[in-house]
Amino acid sequence: MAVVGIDLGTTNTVVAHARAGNVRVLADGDGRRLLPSVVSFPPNGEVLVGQRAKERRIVDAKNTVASVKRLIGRSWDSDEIKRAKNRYAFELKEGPSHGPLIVVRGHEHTLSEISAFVLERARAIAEGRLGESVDRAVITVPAHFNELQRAATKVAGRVAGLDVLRIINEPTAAALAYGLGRTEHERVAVYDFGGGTFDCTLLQLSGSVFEVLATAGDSFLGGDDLDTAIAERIAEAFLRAHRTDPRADPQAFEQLLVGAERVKVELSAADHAQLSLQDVAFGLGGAHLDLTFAMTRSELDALAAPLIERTFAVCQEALSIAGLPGSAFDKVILVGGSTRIPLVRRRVEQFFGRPPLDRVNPDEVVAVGAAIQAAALTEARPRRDIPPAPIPGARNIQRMADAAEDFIEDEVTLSTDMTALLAEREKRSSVRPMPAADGAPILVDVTPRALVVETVGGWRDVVVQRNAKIPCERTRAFTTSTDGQTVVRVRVAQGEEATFDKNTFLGEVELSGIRPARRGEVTIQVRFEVDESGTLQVFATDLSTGREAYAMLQLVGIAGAESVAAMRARREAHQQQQGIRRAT
Amino acid sequence: MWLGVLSAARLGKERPMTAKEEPIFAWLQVLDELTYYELFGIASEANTDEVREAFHEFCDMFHPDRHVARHFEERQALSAIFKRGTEAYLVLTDAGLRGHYDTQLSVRPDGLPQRMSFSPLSRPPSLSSRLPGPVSLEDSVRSPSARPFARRADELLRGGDLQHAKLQLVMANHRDPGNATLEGALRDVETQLALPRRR
Repeated sequence: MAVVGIDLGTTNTVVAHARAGNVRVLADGDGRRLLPSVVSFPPNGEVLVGQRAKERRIVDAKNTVASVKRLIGRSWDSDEIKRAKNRYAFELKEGPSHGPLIVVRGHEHTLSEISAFVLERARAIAEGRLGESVDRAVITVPAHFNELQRAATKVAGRVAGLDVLRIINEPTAAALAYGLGRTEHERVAVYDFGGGTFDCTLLQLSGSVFEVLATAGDSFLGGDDLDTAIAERIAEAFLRAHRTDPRADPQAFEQLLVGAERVKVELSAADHAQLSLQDVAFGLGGAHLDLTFAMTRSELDALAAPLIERTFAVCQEALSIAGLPGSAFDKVILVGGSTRIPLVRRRVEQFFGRPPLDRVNPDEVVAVGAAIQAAALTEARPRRDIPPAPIPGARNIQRMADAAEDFIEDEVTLSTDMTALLAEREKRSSVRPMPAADGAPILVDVTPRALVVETVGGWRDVVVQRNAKIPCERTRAFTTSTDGQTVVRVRVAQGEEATFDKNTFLGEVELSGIRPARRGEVTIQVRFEVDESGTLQVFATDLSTGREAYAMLQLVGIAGAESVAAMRARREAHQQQQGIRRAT
Repeated sequence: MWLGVLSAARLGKERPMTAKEEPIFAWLQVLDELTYYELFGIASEANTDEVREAFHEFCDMFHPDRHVARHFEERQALSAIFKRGTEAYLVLTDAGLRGHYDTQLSVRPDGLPQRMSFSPLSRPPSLSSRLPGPVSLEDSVRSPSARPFARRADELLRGGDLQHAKLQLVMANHRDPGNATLEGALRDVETQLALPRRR
């Protein structure tokens, strides 16, 4: 039984495993370490995931689902879903409790189920590589993901048959992969430029605490945009040469996009790149039209510059939220394939005033961090002994560390020099050293957004503020608002807006059986509990009767345990029917 | 009242056999009597850096992830202790909350901490802190002529437009005199309008 770390990305998914001090990024049977986060449903009832699904994007766009991460955990009325309805070829419809459903070949799938197909494939890849079953995982999400998006991701993991140990933030995972968070105080900027999205997250690391200072992002800005710009350039060259516009034929343009990506990748290493395209289109009398296209790095830079500048507008936004200048950051970490572009690196260095860290492959760094955290949560480590409790009111205050000093027999071994370890790693490409599990820092995570309750007049009252360290517990007292009220509804949302409805609605708790009384006479205590994995529970208690009645929050659009079981059963039945065997 | 802690304390009583040897339960038992300073083992004049450093030591000691191999009961107890630590860190690193807390500590007649009566985040329930009732204003109306006004008031309140909602509520109250819900809603809106605009 193994445990893995999974970076479930918008474009690609990466799975990694850590054990006994080594981290490995796991490749599929063909040696590919990036699993495209694409699911396709061909007519024969099979479900294709990854590269084979991605290839079907051209021929069967309607039944091929990509970029589901942009939609997961969003409600039907959200802007993202509205935009997706125009942008994507697959069909979306409204499901129960405002959750969107994807309809392919007459079957409805929740977004969690689509992600589960990808996770299931990642799990199969890991099982094939490790030669043992994988039952637990740490999955990463962007720092800006709200409670619903995190919960939906967790459901996806469970549908894929994984016990999701923890959902952690991608930038935090990247910082973990670099073994950061050991020195006293360190500020880290994570520059994450992926295929389809850009995020900039600022972290304050001090000792064992990883705190998100600010995060900002553009969910429609990535390397794909640069591919499109290059493909346009190729199309123009083609048009000049043959007087035929390949953009008229989607399949031809898709071929240009694939070529464009190759040119982009080549120009990250070389100054010139040449591309030979055959049979892009057919001319008069069915003549095959070919094209040889050349590009220099400076031409690419000119195309990329406007896109790259947009990323720094986002970074600037994050910096102003944090109230810090770019120079205040001790480390800058590159994440995402687009950070391989030399111009990106140069501009990052200029912007933050220091060279970025790039030792760990930017496509894999998040998965590596997730694997380290997964191992830290499961590998046996010395039991930490608790020092004797202090005496209340005693004047002789002794530092906890001093008190503990004589008490701890087995001193925890802390990290060795990470630089040396990382240098050694480069000799063995797929095996990375990691800090010993007992030396791994404790991630004291935070709530990404404030958790609020609706009050009379449509206002909100903050119960747990943004960036609160978790696990935590907060209690707030409220009163009833009408005479003879016997039922209260505690409506819960997440966000920083003063008006309740402008925040993301999470769900509600209903407390009934309240003693009828005049308005304001009955006090209801509302307690929010966030556990170490960020799961929120809301309890409402009627203090007037002393009754410890409570109710648990049901998140909107998020499947409960029963529907997860149902989804899993449906999945297994389908697999049996199709006779799909796990790839090894 | 501090319900979570009450249940945690009860949990402490039902602790397993190891209780005597296991200091976790001793911590849990004195938790409510410790000041935030005592919890972190720092002096009351400690500055923010010292508070942070103490909190990090505290995290390293008590964070549930440091104790994955322990018994369920022990982990529950650790979780209660840790939650108190995050609360203490919040209060001690926020100048306003810390000032309030220090005042509370200084007015104790017997010099013993009275944390139980101190909840850093609650203020006395005010009109604006009331929960929405199960019925809308429109549903509370008894006179048909007041209904359109109540309905409009509901819409405006949802949109956060207090000025116009107030007008509608005045009209609704006029058409449906003696309706406690409508009267209450009008009072709430007036109170809200009198307050400095919240951000």
